[in-house]
Amino acid sequence: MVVAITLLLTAAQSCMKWEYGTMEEFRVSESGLFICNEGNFQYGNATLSYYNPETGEVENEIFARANAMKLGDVAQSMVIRDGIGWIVVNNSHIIFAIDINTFREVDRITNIASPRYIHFVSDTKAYVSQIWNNRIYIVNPKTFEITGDIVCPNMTMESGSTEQMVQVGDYVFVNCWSYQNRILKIDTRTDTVVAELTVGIQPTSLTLDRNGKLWTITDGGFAGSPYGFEAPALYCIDPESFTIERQFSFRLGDAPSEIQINGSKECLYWINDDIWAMDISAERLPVRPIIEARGTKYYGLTISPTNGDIYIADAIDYQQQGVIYRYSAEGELKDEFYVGIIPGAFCWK
Amino acid sequence: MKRLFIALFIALTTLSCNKDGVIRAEGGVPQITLDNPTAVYSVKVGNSITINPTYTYTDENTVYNWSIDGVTVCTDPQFTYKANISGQIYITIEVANTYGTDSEVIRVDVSDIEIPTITLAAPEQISFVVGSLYTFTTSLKQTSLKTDIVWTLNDKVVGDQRSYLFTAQSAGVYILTVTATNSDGKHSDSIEITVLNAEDMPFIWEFESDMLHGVVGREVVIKPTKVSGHQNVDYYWLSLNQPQDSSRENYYKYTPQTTGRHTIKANASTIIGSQTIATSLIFTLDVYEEGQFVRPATNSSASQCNKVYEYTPAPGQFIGDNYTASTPTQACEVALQRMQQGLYISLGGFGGYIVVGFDHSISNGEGYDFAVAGNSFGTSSEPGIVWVMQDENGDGKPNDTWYELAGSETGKEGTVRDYEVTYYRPNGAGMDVLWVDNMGNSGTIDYLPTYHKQEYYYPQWIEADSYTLRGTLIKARNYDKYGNGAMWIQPPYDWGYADNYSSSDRLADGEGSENNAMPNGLDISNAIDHSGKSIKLDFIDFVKVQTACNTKSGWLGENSTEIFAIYSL
Repeated sequence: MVVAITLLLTAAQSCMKWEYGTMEEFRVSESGLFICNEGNFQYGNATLSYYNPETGEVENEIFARANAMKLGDVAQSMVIRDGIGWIVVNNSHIIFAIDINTFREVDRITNIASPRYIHFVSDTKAYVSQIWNNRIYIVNPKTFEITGDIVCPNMTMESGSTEQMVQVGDYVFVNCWSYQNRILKIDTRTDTVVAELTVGIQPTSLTLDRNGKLWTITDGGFAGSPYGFEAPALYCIDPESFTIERQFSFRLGDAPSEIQINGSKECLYWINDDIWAMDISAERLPVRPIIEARGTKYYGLTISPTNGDIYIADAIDYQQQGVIYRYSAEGELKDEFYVGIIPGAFCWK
Repeated sequence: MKRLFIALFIALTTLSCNKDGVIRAEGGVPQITLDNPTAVYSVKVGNSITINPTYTYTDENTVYNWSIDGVTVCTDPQFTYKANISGQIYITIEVANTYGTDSEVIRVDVSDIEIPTITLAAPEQISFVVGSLYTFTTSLKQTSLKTDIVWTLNDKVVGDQRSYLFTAQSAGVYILTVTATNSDGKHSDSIEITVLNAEDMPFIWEFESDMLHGVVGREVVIKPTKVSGHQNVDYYWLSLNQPQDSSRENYYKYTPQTTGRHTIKANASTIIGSQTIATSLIFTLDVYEEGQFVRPATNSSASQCNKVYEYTPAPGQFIGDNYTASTPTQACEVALQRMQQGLYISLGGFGGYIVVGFDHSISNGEGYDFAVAGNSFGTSSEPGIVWVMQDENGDGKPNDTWYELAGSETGKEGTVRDYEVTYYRPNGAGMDVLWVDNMGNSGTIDYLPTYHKQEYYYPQWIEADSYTLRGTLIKARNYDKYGNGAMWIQPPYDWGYADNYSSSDRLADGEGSENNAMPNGLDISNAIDHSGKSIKLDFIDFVKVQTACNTKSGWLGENSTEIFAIYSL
């Protein structure tokens, strides 16, 4: 019994204090790429890596090294705004704000139930999407406080899922992924959901092309899923009329994800075992991938906005350190490097 | 009106170039329009597919070139591809005239013929006594085609479902066949059933070995591995060394009082019909002193286990995933290597186990004596029962008596000792693995192609087409948190198990370790014997960890104990 109490106290303290070691000095000024390594769910081993595409140098565990504390449990995503990097750490219920040159914590937003992504509406308002929760939080990035929430329609707590957010004018569009099949349209002036569009089962991600059209890609669920299983599809959505303009079907059993777009916003990329690319004006899905799978698990994808290089995160077996592969736009391998466990999201500096 | 004008205009301009009405090459650069707008064609192995595009601006001088990997395979406007092997083929069609060229890349997805595969969960031959009822279950490989099932008993159709209730009505030999049929073909599995009158059932009383050993003063249980259900059998056990310890059970509990060789005689006799059946067996039991072969730890002893003696997992999604092993020896090597590399080993579903040894005996001291590191976390415990063994005869092999370490579930309702599950090898790749237990239940270890694509979840180093795992079952606690299948919770048990997020015996140094290993501390003092009585062991030499639950959690699949390391403390 004594043992039990001691262990519980130790566990609780380690969550509260994040003590790690000494604070290392960093000062990067060049452009670069942050990589969020999710780590294993409930193991508190999420990390942040930083890569310099010019020199090929990579620094791992930069958050822990710069701040002498752990990043937390499941680093889901990161965005940069005005020199501040916002790292959403899902199962630590926290969003860290860091200086993107020193990696030092500036401040934090705490007590967010299950955050996934953050989207800035203005300097004083941002939305935070969530999973297992039917609310999108409204936060004030200046005061680091939660100021309100947006209740999403037809979503219970358990089936709640809001993911990536894309803004067109006064409206923010968000894809609802886990056990959902919708894109929601939020009026940022009233912070309310004003419309919803049904797509296929589980839209995974969302992006915007040069013509102002939204693109989402569903994963179709999985065999035996109580929510259903269907052939996934790529959708082109007109945000103005909020209707599906074009739809491209995959084969049943495919599981595409991670829709991305290049710097000129005219070429789409996604993961479907392999890496695929498609011009936004294409009339059909490509028949051949641009980069083939290596027998491991491609888990994250980003395209350099400046030179079109393709960066692929390989989670390997979800246990060991993941690898990032960097390819040219033409599909030639240029670099590869180890990062942390389960690299999933990228953020360009 | 406007549309008509445009059409007329096009017709006039075309005609001006092509006086005979045929669209000629001088009209411009050729254009290919595929007969399948997705450019992805599907065909099954052994069949052919013809790709028949339409072309504009072509004539007799137009050149067509179909190529695969840069090699021309056809120069006609149409191309017929004969599919010999499954996979994806990329074909380029290029068409050229004097004005220019057009090309398209086409993919042909060649899939295997989807003949169904069905597996019957039964040995090839099985016997029943008249009046028995038995439900046969099947596993069917999922295909994209509708599949029909037919059961026949001696060629007479008796069922069309996935399982079939057999009633042994009268003595005889029966052939039971189940056939799965779809549009690509059919597949059958058959067994021979012998139905006997009660008086014709053979008498069976079998033991694993007649060469046994033990420790002076410690009870030995000699138990049959197989015994027929005959009534009125007269059993008689006699130790020539301790004649006062005789018994009339079908098993023998014996506590040797002296070291040396003990000779035990066992007789069984019964009258079946008008015949008297008698069986006589002789067992030799070599008895040693406890501690005679102890190997105390030294300064150079390694805490980690240094040998894997047996790795016999139950089927599971992690079995054969990211490694290959085709013999039991290779499986042991792979298991040890993986532990040394900081990787996990999965024990699969219920009963799957690993047996390890150390370069020293682990003595039974104060508190925890050794630890097993698993991959438990807050919402996921997949408990494994831990067994210990002394090298009683000093031969360095784990051929002695296993003692279970009691845990919080010992003696509770739902805990079943001597629980047995038999797993049946599927007849084809990508299939669920069937199991039948010794309590009349059956089920499957599900094939989960989304996550684990290896062909078989049945260990490939097990030669037999079925194998039985025995151990102690504890009651499953897993549940579907939201009732929609999305999130499965596998709660922890209080104490005493491997791969268990226990609040009492989980060792703190597992928190956030590099490979997520989460150790549980184990105490040799918790050892119990076959009767459930506490047994005092001064040291142990071998450890066995065995998956303790027989359950599955939806898309997470079967509950399986995973371990990273086993080490003395």
